[in-house]
Amino acid sequence: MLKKCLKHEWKASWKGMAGINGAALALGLLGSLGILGTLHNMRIPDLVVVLYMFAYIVILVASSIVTYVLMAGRYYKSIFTDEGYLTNTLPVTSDQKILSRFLIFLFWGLVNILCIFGSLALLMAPLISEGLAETNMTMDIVMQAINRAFTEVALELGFSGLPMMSLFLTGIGLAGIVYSIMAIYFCISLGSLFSSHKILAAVLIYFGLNMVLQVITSGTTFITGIISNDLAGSFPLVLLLNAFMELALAVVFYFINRYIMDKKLNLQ
Amino acid sequence: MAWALDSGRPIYAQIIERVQLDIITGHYKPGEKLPSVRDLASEAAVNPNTMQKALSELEQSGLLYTQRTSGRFITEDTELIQRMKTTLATMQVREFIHKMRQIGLDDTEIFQLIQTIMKEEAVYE
Amino acid sequence: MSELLICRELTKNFGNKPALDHLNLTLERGRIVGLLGPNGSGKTTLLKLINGLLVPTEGEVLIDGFKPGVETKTIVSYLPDRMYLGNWMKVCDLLEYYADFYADFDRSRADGMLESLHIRPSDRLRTMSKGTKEKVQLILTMSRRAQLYCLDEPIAGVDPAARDYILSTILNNYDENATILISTHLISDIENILDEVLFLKDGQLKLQSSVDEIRLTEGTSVDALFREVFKC
Repeated sequence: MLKKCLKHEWKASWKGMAGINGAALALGLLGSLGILGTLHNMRIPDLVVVLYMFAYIVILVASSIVTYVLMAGRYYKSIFTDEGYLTNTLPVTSDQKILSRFLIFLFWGLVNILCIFGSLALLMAPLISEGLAETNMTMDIVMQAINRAFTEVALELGFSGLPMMSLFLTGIGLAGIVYSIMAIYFCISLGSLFSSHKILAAVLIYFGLNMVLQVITSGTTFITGIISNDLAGSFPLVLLLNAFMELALAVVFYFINRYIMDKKLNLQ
Repeated sequence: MAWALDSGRPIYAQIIERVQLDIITGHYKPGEKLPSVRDLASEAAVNPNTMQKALSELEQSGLLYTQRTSGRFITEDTELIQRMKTTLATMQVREFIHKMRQIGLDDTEIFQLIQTIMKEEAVYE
Repeated sequence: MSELLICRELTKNFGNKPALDHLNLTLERGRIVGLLGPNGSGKTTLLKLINGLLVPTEGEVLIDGFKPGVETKTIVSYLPDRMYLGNWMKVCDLLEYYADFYADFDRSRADGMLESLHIRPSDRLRTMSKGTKEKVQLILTMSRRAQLYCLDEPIAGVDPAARDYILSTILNNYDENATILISTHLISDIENILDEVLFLKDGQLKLQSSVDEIRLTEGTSVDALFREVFKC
């Protein structure tokens, strides 16, 4: 059944998600072509350049926001509004309902990050290749330099090397995304318990939660720094602690979500 | 078109009357196969269980009979149908006479009235 | 086991107000049952409890021996009193959705009914009138070969011709082992297709009787009896 849930979550979300992330990529490509043109003596009016840059920044930021808002909205709509009458009478467990939505959300969250980086890479590609050509360098040399610099940082922070640090940071990043999705679900579920203004309640709870967490995080950072007496050196430890806290919270949020869905469903 | 049924009397009784009438008037011929309970219920727009109950009762009275595999049929006993017809007509006439007496006509007046109206109708036809 | 639905001391409070108040009720298989009662008598609450959209405050409801859950949701087909389908969906999406999630969904039955109403699989819900959407929902609900159908106000808000269509749909899809529970205000419209009726008043069962029993003993229609019992 999880597979079927995933299939229909996918069907419900892919168009919007592909659209907004595709737009981010497309605008990057457009800029890239523009830069390529300029490098080959094409004249583009300043106004167009300014407008383009504005649009580009907006779309990159918007792609992230829209991804999160649409996926959060999908969770809310499919479970806690009239559509919930269908969703919650399917012969499917709450675990399957939450997990399928979570996995699709996670997927599009990652796709969004890749699209933003991909878009930036596309935009930069002509500039980089032009720079390389002018200074008679190859990509290899540049990559080696970057590699060296980051390896130094990694060793400084106490990692065995750059691959270890990359893996570590990826893990930390993933934990962050998992946490934020579960936190959004949690706030939506809590918000649904209100008899009216459910969305407003969810948003307020979300901001409240983030504020509380911010305080806790800065507290732990500060304390860890003092205890280890080495702010830079304690950086990975702080990240690790944070990630564990986020994952622990994500698990708690998951169970609260499930409890609300099973026992406290409040469809109007 | 759903069958016209009164709202005050049991539905199964009304179904029985209706099917009886359909047999007497020859809408269903002796020996003819009756539609299935489901189809009849659908046609009449009544509950299938109620239809079933009514048909069972008609079976007990002998107007219908069941052949195990092929369904329900109208009786081939034309004498029985004839008797039914007489019974039904008798009931109607009794009721009519009763009403006429309530209105205050005596028997001669009733006879005269019937004769007058029948003549009139014959002219129109 | 012929008992399909059992409610024991079933109670649901909203705040301090009981919507259902220690309701005891048993429904057998193979019945078409009218769930009747004035506004706020607990009809919708009962249907939501049967479908697991609410959890009882007290008591229990059993469908085929199970509390509401995945087992019961596979055998109960529910038509809520509102539009519950995503507007962005096409009819063919919905058919696929139902076929995927409900093993008892009879695709050919649904196709046949849609065709007779000239609704195309490529039609999008958004472009349909309210009445058409309601028919699509009814078709989806009745195309399942479920054991218990819960229809919440299926004929409210549609014209008399559509009402006839809905009633004949219910009759045509009726199966001797299934029970259909219909909640409605429009008693006289559905009276003839019911086996038995339940009168709910203030969350309690006021009466459970067969339609013909009522007509025989009271000499009135269920509709007339309802008006008398719930006279304001």
